[in-house]
Amino acid sequence: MNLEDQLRQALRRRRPPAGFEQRVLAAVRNQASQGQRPRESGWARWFPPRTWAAAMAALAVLFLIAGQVREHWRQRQAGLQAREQLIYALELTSSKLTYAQQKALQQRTIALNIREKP
Amino acid sequence: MKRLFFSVLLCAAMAASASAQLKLNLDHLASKASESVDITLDASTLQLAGRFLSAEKSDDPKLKETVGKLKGIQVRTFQFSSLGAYSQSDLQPVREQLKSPGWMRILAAQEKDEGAEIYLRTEQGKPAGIAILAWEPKELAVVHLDGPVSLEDLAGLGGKFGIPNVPAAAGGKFAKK
Repeated sequence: MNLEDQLRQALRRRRPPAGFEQRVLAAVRNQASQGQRPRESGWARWFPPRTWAAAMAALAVLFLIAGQVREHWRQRQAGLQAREQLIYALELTSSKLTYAQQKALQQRTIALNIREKP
Repeated sequence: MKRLFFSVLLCAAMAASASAQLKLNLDHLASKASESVDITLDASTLQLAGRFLSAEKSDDPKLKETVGKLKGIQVRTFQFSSLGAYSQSDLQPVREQLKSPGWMRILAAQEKDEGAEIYLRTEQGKPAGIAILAWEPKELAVVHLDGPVSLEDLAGLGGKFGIPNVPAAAGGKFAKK
């Protein structure tokens, strides 16, 4: 048998075995589904990266707001304390002014009395 | 030449601002006192306090206006449990500062071991500060208000927040000595 006959024998048309087509299609379907979505662990299935990122962003915003509220509260406390000190200082100032005025009036009265005495 | 001019100008400005601030070196009396008050409010603290004055409905606009003029407040008061815990020499360093240019004593009243002095600081003929020294046998007080406040401004606060009325100050009857 020459080479030409050998090739013709090897490449002759043959019918595929039974169920070959179904097996090929099933394999293709399986490969396609695996390529679309990678296999995920249980944790990642419940907390996908997008949800995780959104939760972290929400937490950061929450911390930011809490910081702002705390700073506002601290400033308010400092302001109220300053206000109390200011009012107390003005009270003391005014009372000392009154005291000085009374002392001056007393002296004036005494001086007038001395002058009026014969 | 320009540098020298600006240096002199800067020194003059620094000297002027330094003279506005009184150094109330009375800390040594705090240990002898049974009660003492030490309040120092600078311009930024007064500004902060002023914001909270406006927040309260009961606050008078006159008070806010007066506080807005102030650049600083210093208050030192001491109450002693015994006589002779302090002497007039303790006030001497403060009085020396009040002899500097710009300051003028407008009232001095003394009777035995009680008395008071009021000083007014002026800049270009306008009020720029008030200092009060008041003493009793067992009490000593020094107050310094830095800023263009007048006695009339302070008198206008009478009746607010328990601040007593100051009729004589309102009438401007303080005698210049």
